[in-house]
Amino acid sequence: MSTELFDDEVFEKEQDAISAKKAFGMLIPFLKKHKARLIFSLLLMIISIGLTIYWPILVKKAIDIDIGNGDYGGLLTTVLIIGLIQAVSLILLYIQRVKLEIIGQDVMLELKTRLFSHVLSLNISYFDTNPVGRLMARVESDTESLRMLFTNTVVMLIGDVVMVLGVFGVMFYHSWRLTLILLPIFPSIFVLLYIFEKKTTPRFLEVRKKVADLTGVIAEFISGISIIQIFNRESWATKKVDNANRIKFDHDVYVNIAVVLFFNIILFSQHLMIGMVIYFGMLWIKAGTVTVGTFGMFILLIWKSYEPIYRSTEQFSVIQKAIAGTRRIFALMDNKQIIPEPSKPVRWRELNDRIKFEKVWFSYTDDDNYVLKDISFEIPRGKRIALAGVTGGGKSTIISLILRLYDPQKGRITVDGIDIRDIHTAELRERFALVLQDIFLFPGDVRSNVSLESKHITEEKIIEAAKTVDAHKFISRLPKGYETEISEKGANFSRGERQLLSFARAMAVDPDILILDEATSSVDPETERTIQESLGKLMDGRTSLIIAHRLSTILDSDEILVIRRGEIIERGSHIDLLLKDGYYARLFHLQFKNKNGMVSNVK
Amino acid sequence: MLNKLKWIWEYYKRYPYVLAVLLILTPVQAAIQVTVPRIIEFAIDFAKTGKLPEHRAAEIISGFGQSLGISLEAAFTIAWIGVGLISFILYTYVQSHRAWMNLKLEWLFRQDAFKGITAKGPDFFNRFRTGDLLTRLTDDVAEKLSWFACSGIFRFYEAMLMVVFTITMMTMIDPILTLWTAGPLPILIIVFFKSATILDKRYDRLQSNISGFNNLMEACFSGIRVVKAYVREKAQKGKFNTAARNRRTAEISAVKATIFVDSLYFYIWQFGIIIALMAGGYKVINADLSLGELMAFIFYVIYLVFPMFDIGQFLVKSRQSAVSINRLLELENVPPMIASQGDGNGKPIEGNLSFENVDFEFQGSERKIVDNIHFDAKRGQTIALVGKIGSGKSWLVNMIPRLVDPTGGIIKLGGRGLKEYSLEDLRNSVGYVPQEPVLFSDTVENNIRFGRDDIDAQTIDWAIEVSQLKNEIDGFPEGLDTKIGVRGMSISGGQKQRLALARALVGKPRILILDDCTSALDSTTESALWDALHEVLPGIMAIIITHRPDTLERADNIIVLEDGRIVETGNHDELMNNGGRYAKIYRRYKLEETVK
Repeated sequence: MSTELFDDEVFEKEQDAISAKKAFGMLIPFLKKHKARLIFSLLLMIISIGLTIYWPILVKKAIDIDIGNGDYGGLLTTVLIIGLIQAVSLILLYIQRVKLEIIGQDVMLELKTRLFSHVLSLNISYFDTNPVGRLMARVESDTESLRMLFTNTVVMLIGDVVMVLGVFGVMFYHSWRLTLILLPIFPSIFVLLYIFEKKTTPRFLEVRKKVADLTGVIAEFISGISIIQIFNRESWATKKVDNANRIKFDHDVYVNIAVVLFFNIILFSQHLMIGMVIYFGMLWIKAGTVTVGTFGMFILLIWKSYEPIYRSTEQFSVIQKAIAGTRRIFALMDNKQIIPEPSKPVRWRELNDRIKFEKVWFSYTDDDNYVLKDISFEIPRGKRIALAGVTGGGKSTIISLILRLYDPQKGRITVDGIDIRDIHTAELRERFALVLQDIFLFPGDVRSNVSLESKHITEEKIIEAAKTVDAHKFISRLPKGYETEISEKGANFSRGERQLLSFARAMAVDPDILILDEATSSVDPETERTIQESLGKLMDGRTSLIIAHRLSTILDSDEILVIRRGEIIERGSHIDLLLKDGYYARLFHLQFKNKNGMVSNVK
Repeated sequence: MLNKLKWIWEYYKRYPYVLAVLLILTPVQAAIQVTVPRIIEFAIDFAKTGKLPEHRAAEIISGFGQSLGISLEAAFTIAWIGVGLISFILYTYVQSHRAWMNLKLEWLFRQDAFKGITAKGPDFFNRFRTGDLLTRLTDDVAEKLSWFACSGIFRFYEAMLMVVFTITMMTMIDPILTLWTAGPLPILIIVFFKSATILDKRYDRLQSNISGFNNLMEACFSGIRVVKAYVREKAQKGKFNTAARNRRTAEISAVKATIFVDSLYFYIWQFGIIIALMAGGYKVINADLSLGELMAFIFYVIYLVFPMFDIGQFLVKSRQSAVSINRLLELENVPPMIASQGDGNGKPIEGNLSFENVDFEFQGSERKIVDNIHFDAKRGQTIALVGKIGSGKSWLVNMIPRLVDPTGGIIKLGGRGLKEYSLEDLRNSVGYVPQEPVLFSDTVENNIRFGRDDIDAQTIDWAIEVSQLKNEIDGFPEGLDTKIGVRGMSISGGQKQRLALARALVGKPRILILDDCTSALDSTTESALWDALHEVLPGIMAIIITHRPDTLERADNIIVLEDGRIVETGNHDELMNNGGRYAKIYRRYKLEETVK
């Protein structure tokens, strides 16, 4: 939430990436499919509006004819018809609104699904620069404001216009003179409405900003509360919040009173209209040119015609939000930041020979800020290569490049001599399994977190994988076994259990190559032993690249690459590197040696 | 419920004028409002029969018209418009006051809640996350509470008055007809209440669908690396689609219910007119009722329907806002962990600091975070604390400015217990630089000054210089007036830490606490810092949590902590000679420096 608060500027920038015209142009194909249903819905609405206008006419009949002639039977019939017409009109209106809602929902469903799959296809750098909250807002609130535009605003606007025209038609038909007298008031209301919108819209936006400021101030102070307390700044902070509160209040009071005033003026103009009807009605009733029924009907029709005016003020902001939202949605759809797929992909089914980094340079920011500089190494089939070094050296980046989450600026990466850019990314990645420091758990149960919802991974495979890495034991002990729900961030599993789950996940896909980012944090010796054994089984017979934090991993590696500041500064076997007594030797003492006495377990 | 109203009442008490306006003008306006249909009645009857209705009000209007020398038609119209105008003015006035009060209450509720929060201890902030507190102070206060506290209550008041006045007016015309037409109205309240409950349920279900949908999205976007590495885009899309479909179904079901209820109200609204026509029409035919009176009745029925919505809404919203009040009271009910008891004299406190068998643990926890700590620190000394994450270092230093109080033992400063000083004096004597620099979206100067207006420009310059920020700030486009962005986003990590250091120094503290923040300075600038500091503040005591070998070598006393307990203590040379835990740690830090 708090990231959203400060996002206003980003919002504005994003929507500028595309013109409103282009955005709505892109939206039209989504609507075309529903043309027939839309027209049907509009038709229903017009019929139902026609019926609602019709009933004041019946009231007139009841007063003038039925009551006028003393015909109680006639009155009952008329009243019954009024009730019936009301019911029918409401049923039609109900069907129409539900239909429209369904259309709106269907359009949004398609839009959301398309948007989601588009976001998924974007490359990782897009996710690096766009916080999750912002991406969610695109799929969630922006499509929502667009739906509101459809189901409420646009259609209602059409309905309102139809209604006002209908009301005037009926009025005119029954007493053109009275209608002509009322006519000038209406346009002046719309002028008033227009002025009100013009004047208050920027004020409403201002209030929104002030609310964001206020929330921002409070959020900052709450998260920095201990500093405020230590520095004795409580009363200062309180005053600052009070100030932000006051500014928000001042702006808010202005628009609120403006709204109150506006509505009461509208209400009064309605009163004035009825006043006119009273004056001329009285004169003309006396003259016999207008009946009491017509008089009553006019008052009822005036009431009806005011309904849209009361609604209109809310609609305006919905329209604005929807336009901005539409632009942002399609600006995102228009974003082509994707890892390019080869036009003629080379097939690559399994690793036969080796993976090779050939003079690879990489920068996240596409400038000279290289985080990897001239990296060359190879991973022969069946070998285990370890990456060692301090955090921020570039080890994780190497892993990302192998999986082609990013493309290097210079140099190339090959598998069996094929540039990975010539292989379909899905085919490439399917041969790998990635095990991260701390497993990322998705909402759902244990099973779906092991299989990651793949259809190819059967129940048996899941259990087999779990058994191999020794996760089956603790999973079966869970109250619901494989169906146990993962709580937020996997809090219902210990660190060791989470680690075993991540091994099971990797094991289930039976990869050629294992990519492992070992956990730095230590666990108790018992768990450590289980992890070691499971890891051994997972790596057995596989090619692997490991960011090593465990002594045993280091010792069992065929080659160790020591990475520092984006470069490979030393390489060789553990013993060779130790004998060299260089950087690795120091690192070894720092990172591996004193850690949880694993030496005895391994040797 | 009564205690909630009392809670709101405490705020109203401060605004007797607004309260008087709302209490008195609301009935006045309502009383004027209910006369309106009768003018129509007179007008119709007069037009129809040509005779003035036998009613005092009608006579007054005609008398008023005669005195002005205008026609009766004009007199009725002027009366109509006149009543409308008075009602317009009064209603605008009342509603503006309601709006003003809503917003004022929102301000006060929020302000008081925030003020309460600033006094809370770390236990409070462990329990309530920033996001949660923010929701309570914004959404709860603005959306659910403040509208109800004024508009909700006074609309209910207005509605009740309207019902009473309208029924009185109707009864004056025809009591039997009143019974016919107004009788079914209470059903409306029941309908409203029932349907609100159904709607609530459907919207709850929708809400849980929405959060499920959002959770899925969040997990997928946060775990995008896993999704991509395991090539599971398709599976994610499938799940997303299912969630989106479920949500669509829930959404449609909720909207269906809303539209249904909407239509129902609308129908009932017009049903009132039908009843009035049916029963009233019969009476008109039998000449028991005039046509004008029938029209007035139709008006009155409409007058009765709308208050029913307000009454129903009041019942629904009062439940919601009671929940919100509880959510605010819940915050109030957590007592601050520390209380300021001692007397202050506004002077900084100086002297030796001693920890005597100090323990700290959270209530209900068995583990002592700080366990039987005992040490002395003299004026001008530098004390270094060393230990792993979770060894209790930070909690130990937090006790000095009394962010938390020890649960056992005592901490003395200048020979007196910390609690004997006023909190303000004590904290003014302490300078604190946290591990993660907490800065505010303001200018460089305001972040250093931090609201202490008595600090002069010279002191600020001095602090900037001592914390090695001078050159960088001069390089900023607007110097001291440069905005540093939200949480200091626009400056580097090292700059943030040094800014936090300057903020601490500018108060000329007697005790300076540095929580592992020396990475901001290299070791030469760090010694320059100490020299400059001792020159201006010769007696300053420094308590430092550090990783840096140089700093450790320079410290007068080093305290090695493990699991909240002191395991070793002494100066660098002594401890190195001991060859114990410290020696190991020191070598490790030294090594760490070389591999960076």
